Amino acid sequence: MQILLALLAAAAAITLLVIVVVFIVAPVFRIIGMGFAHFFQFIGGLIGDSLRAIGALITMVVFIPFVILNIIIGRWSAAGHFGRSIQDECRAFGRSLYRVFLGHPARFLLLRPMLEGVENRVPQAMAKAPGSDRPSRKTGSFDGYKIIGSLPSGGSGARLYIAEPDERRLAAFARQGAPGIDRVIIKSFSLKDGSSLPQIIRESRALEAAKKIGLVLEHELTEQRFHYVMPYVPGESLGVVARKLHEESESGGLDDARLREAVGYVHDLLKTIAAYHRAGLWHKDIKPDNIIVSDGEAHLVDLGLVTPLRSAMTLTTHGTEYFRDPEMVRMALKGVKVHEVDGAKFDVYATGAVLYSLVENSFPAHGGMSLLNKRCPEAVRWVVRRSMAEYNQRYASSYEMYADLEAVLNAEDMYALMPAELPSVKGGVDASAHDDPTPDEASRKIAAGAPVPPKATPAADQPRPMTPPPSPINEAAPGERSKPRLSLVNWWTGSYTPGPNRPAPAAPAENNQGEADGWRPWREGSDEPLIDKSINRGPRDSAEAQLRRARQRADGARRRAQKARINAQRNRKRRDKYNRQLNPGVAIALFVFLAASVGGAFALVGLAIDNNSRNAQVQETPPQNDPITFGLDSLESGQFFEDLKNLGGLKGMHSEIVDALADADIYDREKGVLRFEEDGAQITIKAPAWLLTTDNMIDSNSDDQPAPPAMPDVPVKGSVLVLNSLGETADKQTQSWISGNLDRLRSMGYESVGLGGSDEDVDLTASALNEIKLGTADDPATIERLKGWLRDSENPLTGIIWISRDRPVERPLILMQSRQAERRIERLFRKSN
Amino acid sequence: MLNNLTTNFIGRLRCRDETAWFELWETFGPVIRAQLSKWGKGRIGSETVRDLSQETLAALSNSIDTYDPNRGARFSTWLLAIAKHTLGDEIDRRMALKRGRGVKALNLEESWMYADHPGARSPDGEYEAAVFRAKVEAAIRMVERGCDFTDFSIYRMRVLECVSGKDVAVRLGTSEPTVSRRLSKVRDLVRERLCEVIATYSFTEDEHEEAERNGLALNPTNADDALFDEAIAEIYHTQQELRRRDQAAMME
Repeated sequence: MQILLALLAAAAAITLLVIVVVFIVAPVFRIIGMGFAHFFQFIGGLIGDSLRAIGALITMVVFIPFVILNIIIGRWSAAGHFGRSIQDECRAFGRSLYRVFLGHPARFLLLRPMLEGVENRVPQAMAKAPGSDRPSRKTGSFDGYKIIGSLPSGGSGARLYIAEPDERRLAAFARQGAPGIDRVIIKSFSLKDGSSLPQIIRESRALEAAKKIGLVLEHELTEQRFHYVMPYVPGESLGVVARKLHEESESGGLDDARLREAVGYVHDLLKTIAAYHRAGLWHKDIKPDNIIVSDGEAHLVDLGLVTPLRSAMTLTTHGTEYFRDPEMVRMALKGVKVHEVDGAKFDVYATGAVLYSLVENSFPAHGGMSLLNKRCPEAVRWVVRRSMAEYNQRYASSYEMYADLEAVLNAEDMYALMPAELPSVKGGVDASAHDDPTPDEASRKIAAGAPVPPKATPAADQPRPMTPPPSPINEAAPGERSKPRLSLVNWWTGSYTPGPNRPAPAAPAENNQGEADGWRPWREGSDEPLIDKSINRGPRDSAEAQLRRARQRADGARRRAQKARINAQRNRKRRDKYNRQLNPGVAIALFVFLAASVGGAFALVGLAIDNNSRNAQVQETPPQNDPITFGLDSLESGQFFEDLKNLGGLKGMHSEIVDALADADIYDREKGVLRFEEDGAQITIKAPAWLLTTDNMIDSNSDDQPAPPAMPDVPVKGSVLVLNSLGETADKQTQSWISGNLDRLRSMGYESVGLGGSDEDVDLTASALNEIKLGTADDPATIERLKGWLRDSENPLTGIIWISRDRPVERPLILMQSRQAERRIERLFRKSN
Repeated sequence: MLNNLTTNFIGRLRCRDETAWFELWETFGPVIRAQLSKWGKGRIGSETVRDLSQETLAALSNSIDTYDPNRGARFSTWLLAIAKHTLGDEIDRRMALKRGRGVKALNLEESWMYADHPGARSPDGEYEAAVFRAKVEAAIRMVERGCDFTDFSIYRMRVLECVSGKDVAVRLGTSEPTVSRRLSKVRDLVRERLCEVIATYSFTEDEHEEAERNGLALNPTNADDALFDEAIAEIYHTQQELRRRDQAAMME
């Protein structure tokens, strides 16, 4: 029984243990594991972002010389370009710091983040650096334009210049219906610059059509050069913008706001593409590098491959890999003609590829089968798939894709929107649900006043069938095609009215008149129709009235041109910030460069001073041990002042001298004399003129101490032993004279030893006296012994000056290692006498 | 066993049919690049790999007339041999440049074609597996091009992205039976296209049996469908990984 109970208890205990393990211990361990994982994730992120910040700093330092170099050689645009790159690096650095100190950890742990700036961004910026800011002599100038910068050449071999049109050109643009253009791009193909004829032909193929919709403002073909002018859109390419968006987001993909922004760019792009297609053109080279983001809007640029949709030419494989439909390549290889296919669908494919690249921050290497790995709403995935599907399966037109993307943008939660709710899946595109791209602002922005083909008039709430965009060829309504019936009013003048079966002419200048007949040409910035329809209706006016109206129109055009010119000048100043102003990046580069230069200069000067002082300490006797002595006699003779002058004036004086002069109240500036007391007697001495200058004045009341003595910067040539046999027996004048000469000797670079009380002085003097013994300064044998002692290899002296009683004081015995030095010192003593 | 499709493809290549060459490039280009990268690791960069893969096809176009499937060598093996020679030539050229003199390029050995040649059998099992995956991928692309977009989207979500039938139905606003029915339709199409592709690019019995060995029963029962889908998804994802590496190399 007990055994049974024990077994039961054991079983219960085991069961309890299992329950505890399963429900308590395991979860606890799981939580601990999660905690560890979270911690290591944090550490990993910290390291990655720290490395990224260091990398950004390194990249910034790499860019600074480029900015300076380009400023030196006068390439302002290039300097601005690199300055912007520095700005980017600054931003990257700031973001990394933010993530290190405040943000969430990143995933990467390797060294790659540190190097990504140098490995990727530097080569990219180098590749995109503009060339010369001026066209070469071979290219020549462009009449009516002032070149202010350049852009990197694309694959077409053309040179791209940024230019400002003069007033005449501005007025011409305004008359063309493109006002407000203050800056243009000139794309120039010069045979002398290496462009080829096929390139010129390819570029000029769709030029007229492009001009018609305002993409090209002007073009010119000469024997050697072909160029055309386009509006300039400053900004960054979509590729760069995409990279930044991804850098700002977490690593899993774009966050909601940035994804919405990215989709918005493609939405803009589709508006533009729709305008191309309506005009009967096909861009053929849509890719992120050809899309410029300016003021939050995407603009499509580069007309290099623009082709008429109805072209009779054979399809070519031109375009950019991964953004070019593989089906197009197949067709081109089969020799299919352009007009046999719907080229607009290839643009749709490329737009889908652009959307893919925005979402993935990569390119669709696998065409329509490319995987979307990053976080992305299902509806956007669907749009990407649909636009990159096989030729027959993809969106029939840019309209459908536009409608789908608009639905995505309008959705409060993009992730909640299912593909089934997209207009193209529901069974058709609801034209009333969005602004039809036909008459929208983008169209007007591009068309810039050019006539736009008739707008389709879908009934409200009626889904539009998935059909290709309307033919670019203007099709009149069936009623308008019938032969008009006219009723003559006056046989003599020939005036007439439309017959009763023709619709009455519409009231002029009605706002909705355009929509009524499906025709609405716009003028930029106003609702005024480009064509005054009242002119063509009804009986013809008299010639005078027509002339009057023509003059009114001309005046109106002139006024508009004038207004456009003024606006352009105003805008130019505002927009100058992009290229011409010193951008913060350039400022940072200049600041760092100047700071480094000044710091380096200071460091060099400091180093030099340090070396000099060290040398002086090593080779010279410390100044405090070598005081300048002076007395009344030296003052009276003026020798003191000469010495003082040689030493650099009062500023370089020893503090003892300054103090002595100050205490003596020596200075009387008005009379130009020095006055002081000596043994109770007042002595007045005329001061030299140089002492009376303001710089040399001594203010005895000032607390400012003179600068520490700075000895003349004379290289030390050696030490000279001075043996003064006169000693204290000499009068003061002689002593002063000797002292002055020794100072001059020092200014020549010879250090006098033997007069001090140091051990070395005593040793040297004793050694010399030992050689002299009882000899005199005139004794040749004594002189020979001294010379021998001087030549001794252990002797540190350069020479000996023996002021002896045996010789006149002005002609002491001077023995030097070099004969030349000997003569110079002899001259010094004689001269000073 | 040879069939018309096989003969036709080689025939198209021999006739310099550009679409056939593009098809070949599209299907086997990544496999060749991956193999060249593997062989030349550390010695050649991604740009050189791309150049060499194109030179391989150029060399193939020069010698395609000498290719004889009756000798028993796989086309893929032959392609690999050419790629190996191209890489060898490049390495020789670089070495010769170092020595300061030119060197004559090696001739292409036709012995690779013989089945009894030791190198004629799978010289690199991984490569042969990649070639097979490329064939499956080509079949999927053909299906994508051939069938309705919505049908293929269902197949993509259901099989390749492993989304449940219920979720697919919600996303597309349809019912689960419809999803199931359309999925079945596309699956049949995949089988059909796979047969075609294997017949087009395979030349030996061994190659024809490859599908069965990899879990892709071309004449299946209903019970095989799940296995078939699973095998397709696995091959597709492996191939995507190859593409991803190829893409990453290009972006460097």
